[in-house]
Amino acid sequence: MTLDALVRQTPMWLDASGAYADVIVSSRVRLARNLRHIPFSSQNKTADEERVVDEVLSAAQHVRDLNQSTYFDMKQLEEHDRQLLVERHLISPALALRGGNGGVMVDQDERLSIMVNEEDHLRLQALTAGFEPQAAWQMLDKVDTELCGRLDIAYDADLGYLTACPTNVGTGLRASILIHLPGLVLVQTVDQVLNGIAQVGLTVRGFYGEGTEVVGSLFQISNQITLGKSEHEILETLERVVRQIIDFEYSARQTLLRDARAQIEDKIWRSWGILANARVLSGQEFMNLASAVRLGVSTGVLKEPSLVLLNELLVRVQPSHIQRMAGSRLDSDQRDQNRAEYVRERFASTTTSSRQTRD
Amino acid sequence: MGKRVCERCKADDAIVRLISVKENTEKVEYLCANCARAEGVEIVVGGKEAVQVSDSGETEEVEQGSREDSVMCPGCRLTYARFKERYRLGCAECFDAFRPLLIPLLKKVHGAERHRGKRFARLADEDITSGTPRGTWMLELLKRRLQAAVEREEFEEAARLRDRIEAISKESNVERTAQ
Repeated sequence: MTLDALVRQTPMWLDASGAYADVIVSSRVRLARNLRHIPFSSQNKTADEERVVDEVLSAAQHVRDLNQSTYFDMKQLEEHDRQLLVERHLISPALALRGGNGGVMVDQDERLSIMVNEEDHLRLQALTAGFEPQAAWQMLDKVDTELCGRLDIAYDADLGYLTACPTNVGTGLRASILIHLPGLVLVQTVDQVLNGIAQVGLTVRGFYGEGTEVVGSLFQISNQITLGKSEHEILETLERVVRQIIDFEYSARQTLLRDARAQIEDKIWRSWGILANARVLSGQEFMNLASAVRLGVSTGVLKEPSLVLLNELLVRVQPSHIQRMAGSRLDSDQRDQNRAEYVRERFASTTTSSRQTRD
Repeated sequence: MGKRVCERCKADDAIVRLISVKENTEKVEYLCANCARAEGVEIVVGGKEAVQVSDSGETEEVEQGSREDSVMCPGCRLTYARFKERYRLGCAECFDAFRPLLIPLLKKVHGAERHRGKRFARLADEDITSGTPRGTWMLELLKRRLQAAVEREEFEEAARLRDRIEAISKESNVERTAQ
């Protein structure tokens, strides 16, 4: 698969299927693995990195689930194309920046991606739509068994899988849920709800990952602890806590529509109006307006656009995607104009039926 | 101990606090590993607090933290001091070299010190290469490397790569016709 073909398709994890799709965008699980006899990335040399790529790709050739995968070599990609893979959540910003002999293997529908020579030699990831961390884990567990079983993996009987950062030692597993909490943000209890979760070994980040600000009421909730608990226990804790947060979100949405229906509907419809008509749209503004529209669709205030379209736009309106569609490098002003045009077109093609209100 | 430059050579990081007691006056110096060794201080790793009384009645003490810092992994030559700066291990062997220091750290981070999850299992040798190798990325990658090697006029490397490419192409052809 070429990068062009990749950009044209909609990744499966954005198809708004899966449980609680009205609150949860996607579930992601990743595993960190290293080869025993080669230094980790902070201490290694070019020759070491090449050996990692060689060993991983040789082993991957025999893995059935990776038969239809494509390997993208970071050295062969321009900076904005690497950024494109970041926007599609297929690689980390760190891999895009570090260059060198890194790469990523991506399966046909973008559910599986395997980064090579990131902070760890291997970062295996599975992405699913909705609240399906167990499904993602099952998929990943199988690939891990098949791929890493063919490699000499750095594993210790007491400490489990050995990783570059002590925070990943043990299972090497990080599961994260991309969750939309506009109700809790609007009733201003989101901090209160999320503050407690550190106590159960979970953490909250923004849409763009570690150290990023929260935009569009999108949060990523993930486990922090990787040692001393089984993969199953880690996922169970995450699921239990996220289920509680989902309940809080539902009740916040109910409260809002009961006590301030006119104001909420107004906010939703105005946001829809701007997205459907704007001529200049920054990324930040898009995220905030799309959040209100998503709330509208999830609560039945709006019938269109679909959640799938809103999910797809999350990826497609980001800078490198906008530039790829334009076929040229654009400055930020031009990107804002292209973004507005693209969103307008997509809204126009699907939202004619939503011009009627609920009553 | 914060970042400090050796008071003797003024070049390397000071990792030893040397306390010399002479005629009831105490002198404290911060030294790098080399200058401390020149003073006759033996830098022991992972041992007990070392207090040496020399013939002249000097007492030399090496601070515990400094001793930890100079532990070095034999596998990748990462020192514990460098690990503390970047918080990244350098290779699988680091876990053996730094184990007594890492365990309390892992306990603090995870509240546990023993893995209870999936166990690594290597496939049986005959299974590792089972099935027709299908992915073409390995071939593509080797071909790109071959081209680069030729451009750099590294002919030995080029020959090695050519052999590997041939071997892989043959392997997949043989298995394909066998099916």
